[in-house]
Amino acid sequence: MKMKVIIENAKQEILFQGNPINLPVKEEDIKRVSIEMFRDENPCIIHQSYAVQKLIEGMLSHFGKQSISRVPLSNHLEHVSFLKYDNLDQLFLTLEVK
Amino acid sequence: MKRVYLDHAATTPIDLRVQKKMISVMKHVYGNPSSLHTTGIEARHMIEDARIMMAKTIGAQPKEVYFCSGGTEATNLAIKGLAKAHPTKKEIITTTIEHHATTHAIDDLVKEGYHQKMVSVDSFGFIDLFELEAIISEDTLLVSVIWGNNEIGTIQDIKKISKICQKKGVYLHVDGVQAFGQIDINLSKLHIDLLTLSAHKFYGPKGIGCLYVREGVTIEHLIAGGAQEFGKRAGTENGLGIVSMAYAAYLLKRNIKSYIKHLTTLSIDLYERIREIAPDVILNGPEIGIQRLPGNLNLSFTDVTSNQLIFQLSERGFDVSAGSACTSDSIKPSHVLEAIRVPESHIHGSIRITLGKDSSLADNLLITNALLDTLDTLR
Repeated sequence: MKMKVIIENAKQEILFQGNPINLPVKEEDIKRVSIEMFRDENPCIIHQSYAVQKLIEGMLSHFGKQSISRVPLSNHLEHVSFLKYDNLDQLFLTLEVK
Repeated sequence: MKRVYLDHAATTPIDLRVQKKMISVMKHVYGNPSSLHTTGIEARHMIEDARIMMAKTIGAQPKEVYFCSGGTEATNLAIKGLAKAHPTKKEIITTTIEHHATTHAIDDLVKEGYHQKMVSVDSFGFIDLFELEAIISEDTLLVSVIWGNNEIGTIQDIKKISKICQKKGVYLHVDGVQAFGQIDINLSKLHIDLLTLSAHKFYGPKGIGCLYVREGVTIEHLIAGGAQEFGKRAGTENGLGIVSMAYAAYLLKRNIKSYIKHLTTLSIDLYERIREIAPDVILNGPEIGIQRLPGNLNLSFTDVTSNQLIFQLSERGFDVSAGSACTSDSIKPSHVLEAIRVPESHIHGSIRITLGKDSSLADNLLITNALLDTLDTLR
């Protein structure tokens, strides 16, 4: 299953386009998940990368891993709050699944 | 979700027969084996019977078997204990693909003034025997070699290494942690001075291992205290662990030929399946056969990272491993994969699949499908 994520703002400017594993993630969320998964308050790079994948996998599962187009993130903040963007509630997500 | 455990080189589940034995021992044998009363003597007998069983299993004498907390302690006891007992020689030789128990034990000695030499390996992980013979000097105390490599499964020619060590008059320590159960070990036919074993790698419990010390080889203790384990490892014996280790070893040894055949059949099948779905795959280490641990498949793929593969396979119910190590800000390939010079295009996408007695052809099909889906997702 190939997946491509597009993050756009209200002006339809593309902020991110590519494989979801490359989405930018907030450091505090990486730390939070590292603590949850590994009891590791000072996560090494391996734990960090695992935490990132866990966060993104959770988001993709929330969206059913199905193609969706320009979904406003404001309705899904609980599941995307870890994404490293200032104005998440004004952004839109497209997921292309092949 | 059904989980398929494919990380038997990391650890194995405890054999059900060993579990039953453990429960019985926990219920009925609790004495301190050093005590002089009946309850203590009963515990002493249990331990010494287990020592006999363990020794028979590896072709040794009971007095050559020293139980301790596991492979890491056994290796430390072998290397540092031998160095303490023979302080005039200050050089230790090892290879570039050793387990950290060995490399870090030697690092400690280097800090105390010892000199370390490393023998290089070829692209399959085999030691250069000519180099080994050439670098042994008058000052060499010990050669320490991993028998079956934990990452890439390379089985060293211990017989030839042993002959070189004997010819040069140096001691040989062998890390047999991964080898036991996947190689039919018989120490009565091999001249090994020290051999490390760990129970949890062959369906026994964690927290128990042993060091074989050939009769006549002297080592010093590392832990001071009582006179347990022939004065070489102080502390009340882990009777439960000792009995369980010996029993697990006995059970595996009893069926070792069929176990090796089982693992080999599965490895060949799985590798063929993976090659079909991922033609770019590289098998790190020797080809499947007598020079490779039969349950080990270390595979590298392009355009993915080890961590991504492990995560995605785990999400799909499959437990596999990698040999990566972390530095401050990057994930570094393991020293073993670097030593055998895995191509840059593949080295960051390596995983280790290690099969066990409950692995099956049906599971091979499942993980192949999961891997196909994973690669498709990541690329």
